[in-house]
This record gives sequence, structure tokens and C-alpha cells, in this order.
Amino acid sequence: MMEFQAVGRQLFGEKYRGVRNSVYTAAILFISLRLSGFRGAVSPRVLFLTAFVFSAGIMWENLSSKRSVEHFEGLFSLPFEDGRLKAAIVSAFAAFTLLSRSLPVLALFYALSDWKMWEIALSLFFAAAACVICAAWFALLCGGFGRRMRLLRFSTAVLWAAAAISGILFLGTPVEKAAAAAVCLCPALPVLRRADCYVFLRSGISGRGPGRRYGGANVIRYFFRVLRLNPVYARNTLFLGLFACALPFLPGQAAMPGMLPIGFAVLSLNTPVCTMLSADPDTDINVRMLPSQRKHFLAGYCLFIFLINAGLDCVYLISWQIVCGGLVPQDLLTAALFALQSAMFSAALEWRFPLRDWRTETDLWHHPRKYLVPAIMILIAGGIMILKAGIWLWLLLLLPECAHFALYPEDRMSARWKAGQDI
Amino acid sequence: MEKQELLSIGDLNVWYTEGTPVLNHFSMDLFRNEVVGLIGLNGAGKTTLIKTVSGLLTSFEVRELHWCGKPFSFRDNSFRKSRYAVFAEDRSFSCFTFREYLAYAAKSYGREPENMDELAKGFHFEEYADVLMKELSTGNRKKAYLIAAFALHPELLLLDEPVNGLDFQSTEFLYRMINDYRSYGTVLFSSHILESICLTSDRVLVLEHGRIGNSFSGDGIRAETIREVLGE
Repeated sequence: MMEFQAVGRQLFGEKYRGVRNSVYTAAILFISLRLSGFRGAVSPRVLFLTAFVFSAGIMWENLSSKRSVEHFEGLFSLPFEDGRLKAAIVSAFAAFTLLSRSLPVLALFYALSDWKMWEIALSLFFAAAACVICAAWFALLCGGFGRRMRLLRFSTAVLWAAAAISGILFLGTPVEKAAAAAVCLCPALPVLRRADCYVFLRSGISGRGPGRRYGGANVIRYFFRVLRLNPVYARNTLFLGLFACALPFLPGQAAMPGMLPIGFAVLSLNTPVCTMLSADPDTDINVRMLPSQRKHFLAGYCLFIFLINAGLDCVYLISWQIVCGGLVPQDLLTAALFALQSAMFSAALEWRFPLRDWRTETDLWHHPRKYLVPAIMILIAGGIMILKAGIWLWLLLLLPECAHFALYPEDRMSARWKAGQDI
Repeated sequence: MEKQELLSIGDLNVWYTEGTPVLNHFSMDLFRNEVVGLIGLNGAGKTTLIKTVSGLLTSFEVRELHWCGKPFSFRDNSFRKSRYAVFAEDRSFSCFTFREYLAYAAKSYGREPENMDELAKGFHFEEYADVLMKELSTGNRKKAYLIAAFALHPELLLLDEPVNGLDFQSTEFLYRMINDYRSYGTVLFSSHILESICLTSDRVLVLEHGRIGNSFSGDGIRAETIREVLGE
């Protein structure tokens, strides 16, 4: 119990305030959506799959969080009983994942459609099972059993995940689904029992250093290195790339060629890349300490985000051309404008309003701020869809915006830091 | 020879929680080409002072602030180009090698780093210059930022607990570097270790309850006296 309290307080904050905030958020979401009268038909399969996959994904992010490791260093330096500490870590992280992340999402689903009690109970069971199973996958894949037989462990985890998801998707009755989840849950317990407890102390950033080292200072190269050395950042960008491939296949896209800009707007939602400064408080401090960082850091960061966004937009355009065809040169210009504009917004937001006082990286990646830039970009996309010539007007506006961004006086930029942004 | 004033702070109040100031009516003058040691118990406000002068904090008010006799703000870019801070705990730019970080910092300051090889040799850091900062040990990371500080030659060097994490040889070299720095500029450094203060400082400021409670200079800088003051 003491171990659970020690981990839980690190995650939820003093007096478990995080629990209360999450429950309030979920309740507000549920009540407001219910009162709005907005309803939709959602298959129970979608509810169960979301509960399982979303919870597992967030649990993984939480366990691999760099900040979690810092929390645990003190805990691991004291004498501890292996089994009790593992149970405390897994249960505290599962509770944190379920209450702070899964519950608000499930509350949206519950409000959107009319569900039977067993469906709600089953979705909660899937979410909880996903957290425990994910902890077992984490132990399997991240060194909980040493370095031998990596391929076997990887294959086991993949088959395990496939079995769980297939059970949810393809088994008919709720009893069968619940039984499948319970069967998948069973191996998690012995795996966790046998895993080395120190697997939860592994660094959030892993991987070997780059083979080639340079003497010069290049912020863009720095960020690409961070991206390469941090699996979560790289994985998120890769998933966004896959999503960009799949976007033209979504129903309605092919039938509506004018929807192309919406895709560009949605692809600006690369949260880890757009919170790289917030995610690294020490670099944040150093950047604020060094002079002329608007020119040297902010511009480089903006260019880095632009390159990532432009890459994703290219994937999207190629996929679109294969599926729908009919792209014109103006679409390339549109993609470039979206990539540049969203990069400038994201970099400026990160510079002016960095996120502080977060506990795990998922706090950062699920902060409401992440929707601001995509929301603005969707509005711009809507504008362009209504008025095609708007793209040229945007281009004209973007040129002075770029100049302003690059040439804004350093002192004024500093003076505009708002109070309450202390480091 | 009359001392030339470099930095003058008059009546500075800094707080993290409103109503509980960490620095309370703090005033200090720093002169050119001197080494000033800052000592005090935990929570006295040493790190807060260095962070404030580095422009990292906004929750402060100050009645008088002069740099080379002219009013300024801690976040003026011209002031930022004149000072460099080494913090007690720093894991910044972890995906740069030291050489890359130094090049980056030098570009930001618009100057070429000097004596890099000599500094790396003195701190026994030569073999780590091309290693990613995240792969360095705590002590080596500290050395990296100290080398950058001394190589950039700012007019004001702010060092927060510079001795922490350093081995014996590097500590000795650091004392030498701090003493030699008088020919380039001013050093303000905080430390818990009396020896480091006594061996290097022209003046020692004892920080108590957010303000300077005592100060020592010249022959008055003696470990026993300062220990007595701190123990009171």
C-alpha cells in the first residue's frame, strides 16, 4: 500500500487532486454532450476496441515516460520487495491511465449513444485489462527479461496483441469477448511476476548515439537526432505518416476532391514534435538563458517542424494521387503553405506558452493546447475550400508573416514573456 | 585604482508564491574583474538570485537595476550576450555533443570560443568532446558547461554550485580558472563549500533570509569566521 501511495502521489499529485480533476472532466464531457442532444450510432465493437487500444497506448506512453524514471529513482534507491513494488507500479499507472485518459474518452462514447450496462462494464474491463496486458508487453519488450531471445519476445507480444484485438473484433457474444480478454490477461500476471522490476526504471530515451558526430551547431540536425533517439517521437511521426497514407481511403474523401486541405490541417497534429521544448525543461532553461535564441533556436525549430509537416503532406499527396488522382501544381503550393503556417504557429506557441508542471509526457501530449493549431488550420482549410483564390491571398499574407517571424527584435520577444512562465 | 561598477541591483524582491519572498529587499553591487562568492544555507536564495539575473524568472520586482551604469532589464539581449550562467543541475541539449553545444552557444553569443583545448585538457575532458551530452556522467556534464562558460569569456559569469560533481583535479583546475578569470571579467558563484569560496573570492556575500546578511572581503575572508556566521 505504501508503495502504491508513493507512485500514485507522483502521478496524481498532492492529495490525489488529479483523480478529482479527471472525474470532473469526464462528468462535464458526459453531461454537456448528453444535454446537447447530439447522438450517433456507435457499434459496441468500436467502443470495446477503443477502450482496449487507447488504454494500452496511453499505458505504454506512461510507462516509457522519461519523467516517470525521474520519479522512480528515489523509490528504487530504497530497499523494496520486488513483487510488491511491481504491483504498486502497474496498478498506480493503470489507475492513472484509466482515470486521467481513458475515462474522458469513454465518457464521450457513453454520452454519444445509448448503451446497456453490460456494455459499459465490459468496456471498462477491456480498458483495465489493456493496462495490465500492456505492462506485461512493456516488460517483455523493454528488457524485463534481459537481452536474449529478443525476436521470440517480440513475436510473442505481437501474437498476444493480435489475439486480444481479434477476440474483441471477431468474437460474437459479450461472454466470448470477455472470456477472450480474460484469457489474454492470464499470461500477463506470470510475465509481470517474473520480469525484472528495474524494467520500469529504464530511461525514456533509449538507443545508441549517432555514428557520425559533427562539430558545427545545427539546431535542425539536433532535433532530427532527438526524433531518432526517442522512440515515442519517431513512432508517433511514423503513425502519422501511415495515417497520411490512409486518409484518402476514408469514406467521403474520394467523392469530395475539395477535401484535400482538411487533410493537410489534420496532419499538423504531431503533438510530440510540437512540444519538444516543453518536454525538455533543462533545454528550455538553457535556451531562455542564452542570447539571440529567436534567431538561432526558434527559427531552426520552426524549420524542423516545417520539414516534418511537409514530409507528411508529401506522403498524403502521393497517396491521394494514387487513390483519387487529379492533383494540380497548386495543391503542392497549398501543402507547403499549410506546412509552413502550422510550423510557425506551433513553434511560436511552444516559445511563448511552453507547457510546464507536467508529470508524465502524456500530460504534455494530451494537453488541450495541441488542438489549437489544427483547429486554426481547419478554419483556414474551410476558407480555402469556400474561396479557391484564397490561397494566393494567404501566400501574400504569409510572406510578411515569415519576415516578422524571422526579424522580430530579440528584446521585444523577451519582454513579451508573460508572468507565470517562470522556470 | 577605483573599482568600476558592473552590475548594481537595488531592492530586489523575488517570489514563487505571492506573499512569501525568496529574495527580500536584496541589494548587491558587482564590480569589474572581481570574483564574488555567494554562500548561504539551503533555501537562502542563491539559486533564485542566479536564475533571476539569468532572466529565467518573472515573478520579481526591483527598484534599481544598472548594468555598466545604465538601466537595463535582465532579459535585454545585449545583457544576455554579456553573461553566461552554469546551473547546478543541467541536462540541456542532451542530443548535442559538447563540441556541437559549444559551437551553438558561441554562435548565439556571436563570438569564437577561446582556449577550448586548454580548458578541455585542464578538466580532463578531451575524450568526451564528441560524445553526446546525454551519454556523459553528471560530473562530465558539469565540466562541459563550465568549459563553455570559460571559453565564451562573457563579462559576467554566473556559476551555481560549480564544484558539485567535480573530481579533485578538476576542482583544483576550476579554482585556477576562476582566479584567472579576473583578467576577462567578473565571476559571481554560489557554493556550499567554504574552501571554494575562500580560495577564490575577493568578496564573500552571506545570503540570509533572502538578503545579504554579512559580507567579507580581503583578509576578512576566513573559513572560521564565515562558519561562525553561518552557524549563528
